[in-house]
Amino acid sequence: MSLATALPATRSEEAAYVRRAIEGDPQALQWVARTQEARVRRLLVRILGPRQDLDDLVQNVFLELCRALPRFRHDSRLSTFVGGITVRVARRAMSPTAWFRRRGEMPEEPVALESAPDAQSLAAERVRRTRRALSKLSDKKRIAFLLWALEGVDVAEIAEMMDASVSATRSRIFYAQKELKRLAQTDPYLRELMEEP
Amino acid sequence: MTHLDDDLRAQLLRDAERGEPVAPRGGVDLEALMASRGPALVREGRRRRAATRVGALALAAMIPLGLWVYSRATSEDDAPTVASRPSAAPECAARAARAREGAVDGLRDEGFAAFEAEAGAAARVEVAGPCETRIDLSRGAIAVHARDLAGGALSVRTPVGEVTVRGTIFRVAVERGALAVEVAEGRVAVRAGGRERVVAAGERWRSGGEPTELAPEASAALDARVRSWTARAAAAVEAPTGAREGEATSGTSGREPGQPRAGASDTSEDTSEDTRAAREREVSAESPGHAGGGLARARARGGAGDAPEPTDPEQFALEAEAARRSGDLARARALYRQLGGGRGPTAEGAWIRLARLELEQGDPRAARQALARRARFGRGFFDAEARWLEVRAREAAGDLAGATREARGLVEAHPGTPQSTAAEAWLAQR
Repeated sequence: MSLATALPATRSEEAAYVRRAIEGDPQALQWVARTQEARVRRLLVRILGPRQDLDDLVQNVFLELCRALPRFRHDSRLSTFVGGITVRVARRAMSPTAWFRRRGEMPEEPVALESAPDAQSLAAERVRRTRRALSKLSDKKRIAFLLWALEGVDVAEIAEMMDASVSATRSRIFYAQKELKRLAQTDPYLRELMEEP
Repeated sequence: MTHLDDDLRAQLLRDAERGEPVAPRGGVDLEALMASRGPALVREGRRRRAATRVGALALAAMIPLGLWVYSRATSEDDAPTVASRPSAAPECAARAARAREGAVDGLRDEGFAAFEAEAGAAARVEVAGPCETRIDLSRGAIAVHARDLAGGALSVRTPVGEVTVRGTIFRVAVERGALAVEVAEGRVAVRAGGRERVVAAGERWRSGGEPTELAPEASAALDARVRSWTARAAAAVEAPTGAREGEATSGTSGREPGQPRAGASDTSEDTSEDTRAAREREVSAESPGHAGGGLARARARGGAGDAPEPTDPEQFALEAEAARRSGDLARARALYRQLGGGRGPTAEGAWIRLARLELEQGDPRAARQALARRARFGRGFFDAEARWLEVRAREAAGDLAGATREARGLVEAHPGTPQSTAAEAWLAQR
């Protein structure tokens, strides 16, 4: 069974791959990239929205992961560890450096939908307006809420990814939610979102 | 209460899945990238982690080391400097080291200086530095005799102002919120109300006013009072029984070669009635129970009194004074003579007392005889006082020429003393 096709069935198998990756085994590193890339990409989209430089950000996440692997303590899942690095990269992307500011904003890349029925257009618009409403909040509150609401990550894992306590993370999500509901009073798309069961 | 809205969350999740599908993988072959650059980056990460650990360990080791070095350096700087560090004024440092901190209750003799808190006074000694002694006087009055500060500083701090000693005899009192300073000898600097002034010998200053002349009697009383402290200390040193041998050693060590010797004095005038009564009570209380006493020697010499013989010069002096005041002059004379047969300033003071007693009794001849007995002490500790008594004795005997000659000699030999001031006043009247 080759590494390229093997997927870990259990946590112990994952731990074995991670140990080899920490030793610098190229095949184990390839396995990490293969199993985690989709999640990293999705997290970045949920946090930042569609972006033209998404591939660059994904690449940055994995290069940074290689450097950070020796710090992995095996007391959490690899996905959580990778998620934490993804959040850090996403936060840096939210606060662009002077070089990026000079280059100008990265325009959102329109999502390529095979078909664009009304329901999909409405959903895309609501998510876009949700992001805009949350843009006035701090990065920590915004990321916590987006991971919770758009990606479905549970509070404890978000806390671990953001290196914060569970109570602090719950508080961040609560205040983001409160702000969203306040803005929904004046936004028809968001108001509709709140009224739906 | 942080209630999270699960309905909202579910709706947003659906919207995200429907309206924001994740973009497909780009052109970068991430697996190839990880295989080629990944191992080098992992090694770099390992090196960084090791370096961070070493740095953290080094920092953890440096903190206690730094604290230890700092504490060592601090303790060396803050260590008592009297013995270990050469001082700019080692002599004063050594003297100030003998000062004891604490409340002043009655007389306190520190060698380089002595001070006595009057009844009702609240005073406390603080050693402000190796060469600086401070007396905090919050209430009442204190008399100070700065014998030899050897370059050090002695000050009296009151709520109203501060009095700095320049080597002198003075009295400081806090009277109804005002500060009063009387200087018998030397001068003091007074700082009060944002101003500093010098009060010289023979002056009295009260806050809010200008210095005025201090009455000669007050000056003489203060001077005599201060000298009596030395006499009391010396009496303890010269106790014939040897019971105070330890005290004697420490007492004499404080005396400097050029410093006047202490002696007993007849300065009962300056002591308060309370103190006198207390001393008399003390004498009368001690007398009956005195073991191995008896007045054999006292009777043999003076032929007076029923009380047992005192055991030390201090007690002699107190008993003689009590006898004089009670009118038992024969006993007082006997005790003074017995005391005068001893050594040191206590004996010298006894002859001075006897001379004064004889003068008070109108017997200038006997007074001069007593003064002649005192002459064996030379300048001694009470030379100025002896000369002034000589003036008065000669005047009482009608020898005005001799009295004038003695008065001039006193002014020349002891300028600035209260006796000299009194002599000048006497000469001016002639």
